[in-house]
Amino acid sequence: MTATATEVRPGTTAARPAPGPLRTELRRGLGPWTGAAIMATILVTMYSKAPEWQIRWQDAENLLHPLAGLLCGPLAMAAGCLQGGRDRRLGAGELWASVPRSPLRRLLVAAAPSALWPAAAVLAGDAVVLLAVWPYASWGRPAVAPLLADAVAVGAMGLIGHVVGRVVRWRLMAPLLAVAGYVGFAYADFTASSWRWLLPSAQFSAAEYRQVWWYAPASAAWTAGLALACFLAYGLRSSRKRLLALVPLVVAVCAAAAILRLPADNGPWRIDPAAVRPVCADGAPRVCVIALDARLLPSLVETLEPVNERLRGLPGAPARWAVGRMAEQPGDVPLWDVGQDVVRNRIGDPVLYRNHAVMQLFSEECREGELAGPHAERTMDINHAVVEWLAPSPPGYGADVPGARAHLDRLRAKSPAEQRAYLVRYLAASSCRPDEVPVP
Amino acid sequence: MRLYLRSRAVPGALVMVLAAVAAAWLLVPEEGSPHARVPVLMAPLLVATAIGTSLHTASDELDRTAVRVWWPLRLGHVLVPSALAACLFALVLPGHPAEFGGSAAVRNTLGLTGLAAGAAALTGARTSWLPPVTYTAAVYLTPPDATAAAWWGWALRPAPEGAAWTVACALLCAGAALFARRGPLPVKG
Repeated sequence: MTATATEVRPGTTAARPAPGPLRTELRRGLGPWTGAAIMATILVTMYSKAPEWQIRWQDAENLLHPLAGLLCGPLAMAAGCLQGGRDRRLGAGELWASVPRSPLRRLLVAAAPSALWPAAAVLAGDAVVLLAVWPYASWGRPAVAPLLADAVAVGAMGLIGHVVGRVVRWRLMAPLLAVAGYVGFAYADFTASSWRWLLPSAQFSAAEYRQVWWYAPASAAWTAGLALACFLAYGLRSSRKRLLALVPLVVAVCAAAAILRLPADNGPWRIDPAAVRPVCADGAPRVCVIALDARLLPSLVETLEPVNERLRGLPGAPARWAVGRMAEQPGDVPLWDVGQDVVRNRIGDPVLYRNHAVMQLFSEECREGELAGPHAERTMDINHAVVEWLAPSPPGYGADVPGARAHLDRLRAKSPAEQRAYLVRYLAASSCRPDEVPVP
Repeated sequence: MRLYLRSRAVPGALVMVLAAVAAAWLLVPEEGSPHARVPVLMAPLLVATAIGTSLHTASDELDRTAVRVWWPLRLGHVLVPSALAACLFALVLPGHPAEFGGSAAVRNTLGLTGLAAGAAALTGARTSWLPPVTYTAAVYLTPPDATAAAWWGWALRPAPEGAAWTVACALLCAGAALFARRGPLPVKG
């Protein structure tokens, strides 16, 4: 018996084994381009809205979720559709049939780029966005499960698109899927029923809320189950095992049933008591924010300091500025969510914020019939003058109230002691009863 | 000519253009509705994708052996359906003319079709829908503020804004010229 040995000449290398078909499919064709398009969509869109989310983990995630469902999902579906029709367009059916693999396995290899690239691109885009939030987030940590559910949903839509592309021979099918998916999701998101929580694009934008723990896995089971059912129904259509497609379908239906039991308004979102815990700075009046915005406290204290300086120690002055959604106490001046006014942990326009805060300090809800009579207009003028004196509005903002000018001039002309005395009398009066409001 | 139109599935694309116009006409929301921009943006997008995908030819190599001058046919292929759709939108779409009425739909038809034609020349006609779809979706989800808007958010700007029209017309001219000169990029598969 003789044996031949293949000699490898010195200086040459042995031929590399051919890469597996899955690896080749993933590296070539439309998959990488789809991934790049999806990642670019996420990054460009998020970049254009950076001031809105680069402050809290929750704000970033609340934007990433509809972005993945509304933009990336239909895009993945359309790209999957294009990929699904590839073999038919190339006339590669006979070549595939000659491969000693089952139809389902062949389909799995061909469909892998349609599902995996979009899902990977969503995760990569999410990671970049979260890294951009990291230096500025005050509290908590990113919720990973909803982001994973988003990636699963986008991958599932890519898979469904692939199956549609295999079944439908129409060159307009891919763009039509993209447009119809986009318009359909956008319209459905406006419905006020529990059905909208089944959508991968359902929007919710309150940072103080967090999802119930089971929603992300149930949502992933719903989208992945539906896509797998389509995939198996197509891949096993000529096999005895085709009833296997019912298994993921049952899982999807069970997950959908659980999601549909959620309330229509807030759905899976519950307020997070730890996030709305007040965190206060020393001083009078105190400046308090919710734990979610703890890093903003120094900037807020600095912004409100000129007003606090004038209010400090006065009878009737507020006890604290309560910034954000926290349990109200007597002596509080509730200020709205600061998220819209902050750019990377700094108040965007401190003068405007201070002016709005003082307007809120003197805003009083009057009952019907109050704030009437001969002095009502004068009271509104005085109110405007006091606000402008304590915290002038920035140029270009605020209404020009001619009647307030004289009051403002008189206020400014007073000595500091007289100004304090007037402010005490003004704070003691109710602007709903015009006769009580002192004239400067 | 008939062979050219049939080889590009132009009749099907024209049906799609008419369907998009009809959908925009039937689905016009009430004034002030949050969906007011949808027909003005999505119907032109459908028109652009229909025209863009119709630029594909299965006989590209054969076509290039012909002695005839191709650019007038290619230019007509982009401009005639766009003009038809633009006229129909102007006729059927009411809405607030200063905001998102028929003239905004005309502008978006021109701009998005130009984008699709340019993409057909650069990346192939099968994927020519990708840039207009991605652009439209991104700009709709994140409407740009007024300062930077007219240039990159032209499709969402109110109709009378000159800068938005300039961008849309420039896109149509560039896209149509590029396609007329180079034809669709031949892509297999």
